[in-house]
Amino acid sequence: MSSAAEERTSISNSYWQGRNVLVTGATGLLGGWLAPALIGRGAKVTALARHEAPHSLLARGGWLPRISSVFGSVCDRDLIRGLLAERSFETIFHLGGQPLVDVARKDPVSTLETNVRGCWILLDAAREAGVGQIVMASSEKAYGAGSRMPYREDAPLQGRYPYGVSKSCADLIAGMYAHTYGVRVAIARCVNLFGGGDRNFSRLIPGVIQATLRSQSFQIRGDGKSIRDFLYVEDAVEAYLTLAEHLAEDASLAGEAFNFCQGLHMTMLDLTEKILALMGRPELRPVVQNIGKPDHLSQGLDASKAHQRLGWEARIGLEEGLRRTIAWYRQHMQEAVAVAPVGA
Amino acid sequence: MGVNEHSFWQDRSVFVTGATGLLGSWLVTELVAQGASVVALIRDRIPFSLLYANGLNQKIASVSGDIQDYMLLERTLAEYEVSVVFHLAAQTQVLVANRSPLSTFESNIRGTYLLLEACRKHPLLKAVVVASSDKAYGSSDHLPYDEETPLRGQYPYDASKSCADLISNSYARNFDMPVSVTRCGNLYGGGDLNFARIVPGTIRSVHQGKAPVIRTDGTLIRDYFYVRDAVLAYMMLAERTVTGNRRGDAYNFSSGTPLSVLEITAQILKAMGREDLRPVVLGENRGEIKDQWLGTAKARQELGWEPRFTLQEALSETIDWYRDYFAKTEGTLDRAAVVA
Repeated sequence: MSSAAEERTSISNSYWQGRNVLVTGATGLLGGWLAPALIGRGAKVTALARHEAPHSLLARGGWLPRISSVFGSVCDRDLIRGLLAERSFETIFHLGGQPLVDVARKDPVSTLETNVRGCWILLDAAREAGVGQIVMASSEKAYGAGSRMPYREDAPLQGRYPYGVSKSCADLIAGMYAHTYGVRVAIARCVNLFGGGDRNFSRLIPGVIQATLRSQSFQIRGDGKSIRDFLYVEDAVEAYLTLAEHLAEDASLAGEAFNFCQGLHMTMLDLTEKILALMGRPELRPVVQNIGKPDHLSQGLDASKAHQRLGWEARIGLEEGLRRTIAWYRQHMQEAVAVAPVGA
Repeated sequence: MGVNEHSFWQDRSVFVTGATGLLGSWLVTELVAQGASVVALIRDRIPFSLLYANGLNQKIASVSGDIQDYMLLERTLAEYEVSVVFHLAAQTQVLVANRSPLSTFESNIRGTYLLLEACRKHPLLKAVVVASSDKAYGSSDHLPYDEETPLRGQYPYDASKSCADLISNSYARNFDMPVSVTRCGNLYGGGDLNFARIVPGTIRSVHQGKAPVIRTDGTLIRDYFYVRDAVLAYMMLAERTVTGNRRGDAYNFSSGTPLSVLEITAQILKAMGREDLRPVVLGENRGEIKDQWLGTAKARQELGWEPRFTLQEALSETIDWYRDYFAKTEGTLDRAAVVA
C-alpha cells in the first residue's frame, strides 16, 4: 500500500460506509486510485475490468483481495445487466473506456464501441436496475475545438478527432438518460490526469519521469510549446467522490456536467523542466524533435461551477502531485521498466 | 426527371441503406429513373413499402441484412463496386426511441460508425451522404437553426442523431473521406404508412370522414418537407460531394415554411375540402422538442439548391397518393399501420 493510499484510508467519510459501489475501468489510472479510496472509506467495491492486469495499481497495491472483481467488457450487455440486477449498486463510477488518442485514430471503431456503446449499455442497464447514482467520466476533449476558452460546462460538445468525438457522444448520451429518463447520472470532465501507476509512457509526465530515472533526456515530439493543463489523480479522486456525494443528496444534479482542472497554463517544455528540477536532474534537458504539426491549443477549462456547487478544489496541486508521482515511480521503477508500456 | 444518358447517375453503383423507408423508396425510384445501378440494404421485408410497388424491387439488387453487420457492409461495398452511398437506415420514430433507446442507439449510432468504417476501407468510394436530422440540434433558443448550431439532442432519437452526425464529421475530417451530412425537417409524402405521423394520420382520418386527432397540443412548430424535394436534395448533395471534393459538410434542407401542427392539419383539411372537420387536440406533449425549423442559406448559396414543390403541390400529390392507396386496400387488413 502506498503512503498516499494509507493516508486516504485514515480519512473517514460516513457516506461511503457499507455502500455497494461499482467501478468500471478499475485497472486504469483513475480507477486504481479511486477504488482504494472507496475501500478506505468503507465502501464495498466491485471492479469491472476487461482482463486481469497484474501490473495495475490495484494488483500492485495488494487491493484485489478486498475487491470483488468482474472480468468482461462494458459492451457485454448480458454481463452488465446481470451484474447490475444482482448487486444493487448504490453508486457506479463509469471510468471504463479506451483512453488513448492515437489508438482512437488508428482504430476508431474499437474506441467508439467501448466509449460510446459501452456508455449506453451501462446507462440503459442502470435505468432498468434503478441504480442510485452514476458518475461518468467524460473529458475536456469532449468539447473539441471551440472558439471560446476556457470552456464552461454549457459549451457545445463537438469533438473532432475520434477520441474526442467518442467523449462528446458518451457525454450527450449521459445527459439524455438524465433528461429523458431521470437517471441520476452526473458527468465529470477532467483535464489530463497524472499520478503514480500510469504506464502510458508516451504521455508527458510518466515519460519524463521514466527517462530521467534512466538518466536519459526526454524526447518531445512537437515543439514543446503546446499548453496543457494537468490534474493530479488524487485531486481527481476527490472530485469524483465529492460529485457522487452531492449527487446522492441532490437530484437536481442529474444530467449536470462539471469541469475539474488545476487551471495551469504551462507549456510542455516548462512542465518538463519543472519535473527535472524536482528530480534534481536539470541538466537532462529535453530533446525537442519538432515532429508533427504545431498544436498550441490550450484545452483550458473553467472549474468555477465545481468550486461553487461542490466546494471542490485541487488541494494537492501540481507540485505536491508531481512529488508524489516521482516518489511512486522511484519506488516502482524496476517493475515499471519490466513491463511493456501499453494501455493501462 | 427522365432518363438522361449523360446523367451523373447513369450506370453509377449506388448503395442505399434504409431503402424500404419513406425517403429510401422514393430515392431508389429516382435513382433507377436516372439510370443508376442500385444496391439496397434491406433488413425487414416490408411488403407495403413503395419499394415493392410497381415492381421497383425487381430493378435493383437487394442485400438482406442489418446495418450493424460489418462484414456484410464491407462485402457489399466491395462486390458491387459501390461509388456512392446514401445512409438512410435508422430507427426513425421518436416515440419508439423513447420506449426503446437501446435499439435506437444501436441502429442509429453504431450502424452509422460501422458503415463509415466500411466506407473508409473501400477504395472506390466517391461520396457518402449521411441522413442526420433537424432533431440532431436539440432545443435551441435561436431559430431557425443554421449549420453552426451546436448539436445537443436531449431525447433518445435526437441524441442518436447528434452523435451520428458528430461521428460522420469526425470520419470525414480525420480520414479525408467524402462524407456529407443532411439535416432535414419532418418528411412526408405518399408511401408513409406510419399513420401515427401527422400528415398520413390526418389524411386517413379525413378520408374516413373523421376528425383528425392531434396527440400534442398542436402548437409544436416543425418544418414539413416533401419527400420528393428531399430526394432531389440528397442526390444533388451526393453529386456535389463528388465533384466539389467536400469533406464533412452538413446542410440543412427544408421547405422554408415552418408550420404548427394545427396549421399543417388545417392545410390538409383545406386541400381535401373538409374544413368542417375540427381537429381533436389531446395535449400530450412529451419527450420532444417544442419548436424547430431550419435555415437553408448554406444549401442555397453553396449548392444552388432550392425546393421544387410548393406546399400546395406537395400536399395535393400526397393526398392523391393516399386516396389511390385507400381505394386499392379498402377492406383489406390494415396491418401496415404498425410499419415504419
